[in-house]
Amino acid sequence: MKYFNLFSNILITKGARRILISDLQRNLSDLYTLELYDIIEELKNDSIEDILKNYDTESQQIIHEYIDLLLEKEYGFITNGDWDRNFPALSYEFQEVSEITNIFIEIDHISVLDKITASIDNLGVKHLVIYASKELSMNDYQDIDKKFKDSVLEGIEIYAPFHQAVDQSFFQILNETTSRIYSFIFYNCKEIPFKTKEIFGFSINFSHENIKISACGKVDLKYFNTNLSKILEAVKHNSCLHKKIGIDINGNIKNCPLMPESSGNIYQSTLEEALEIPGFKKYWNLTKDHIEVCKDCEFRYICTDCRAYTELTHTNNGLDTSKPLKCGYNPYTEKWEKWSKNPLKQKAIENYNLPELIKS
Amino acid sequence: MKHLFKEEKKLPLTFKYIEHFRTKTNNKTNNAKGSYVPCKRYHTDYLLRENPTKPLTRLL
Repeated sequence: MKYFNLFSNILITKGARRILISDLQRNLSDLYTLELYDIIEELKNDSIEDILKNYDTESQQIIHEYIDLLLEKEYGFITNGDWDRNFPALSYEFQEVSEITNIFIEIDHISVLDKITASIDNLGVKHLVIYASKELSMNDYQDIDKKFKDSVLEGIEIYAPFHQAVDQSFFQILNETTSRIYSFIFYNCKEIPFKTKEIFGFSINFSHENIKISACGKVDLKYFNTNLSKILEAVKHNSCLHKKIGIDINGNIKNCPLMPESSGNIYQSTLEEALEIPGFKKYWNLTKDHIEVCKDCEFRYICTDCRAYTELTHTNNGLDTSKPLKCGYNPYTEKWEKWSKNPLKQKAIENYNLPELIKS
Repeated sequence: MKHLFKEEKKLPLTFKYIEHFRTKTNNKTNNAKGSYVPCKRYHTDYLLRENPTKPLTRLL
């Protein structure tokens, strides 16, 4: 008797109309039909010979083709006899030593950052995302990097308005004088100022749009990613809010800077104190399996959730379990549509007062 | 770790006999040094500078 065994690092996510097979070793995800899901389920329990008996000659050929596909893609292997219990399943436990992995802060002046540097070290924060509402000079960027010299931060990402001084030499100097910044995003940039093949220690993006912080929360294929850490976090926790702190322009400490509830202010308390306030972590363990529509979506573990902007249709035990507002995917039709044009979302869009997003 | 410990007894001078075969150009292209940053709390000069494993913000 021959048995097909799926490798432990292959994760299958069943959607309403298709499945997503994620290879957690190669960091790749592929879409397949629901039919393949049924065959994989049968292969888990029965031998290939027994399964084939249940099908007519024509369908047997298809089963063979599916098994060939699974072998070709290296999703599993065939053994003589049932060895399945001897290949233990992968643990889906997400392990992360840092109390907080990332902070998203909106600032109007870089001096605000002094209020959180000590907490960043205490909490073991890995990444800091800064949204600046005002232009930042060369000195400002260098000072931001200097503030976190010797800190536990592994990287800093900065959104800031574009201005005329930003040119190639600007980045050449920053490349020499900064070490933790890994991404610059300049918004409100009418024309890309230069093109270069030079390799910097950071990525640079220019956007012609006047991006507001309220633009966050978009769900798009470009934001999907397959890797073990991301997927394990999404399986057990909220893929956006788990181990995150948000600080709004007024210094209010929140789980996300765009959410209404705050747990203190950086001018009066520390981030460690804010974390202890009941309710701060209420969304941390809300997974996509409990969010309306998302629970039937094949992309639910490679997608990043948003609780700041939702369709505002469902709640469960005081938690908003509605579909993210800025997601245009429908798992029941397998179609992507522009979310801002969806008539069913208009009420929520008005509720959040996001008229500028409807136009875009 | 170099800031933390002082060796009481120095290692035997075997390094003296190691032949260096890397050329200058090889050293230049090896920019792995740029992937590390110093970190006081973890007592290291080699904290790996890593990009996040998921998109932390989705504004674009």
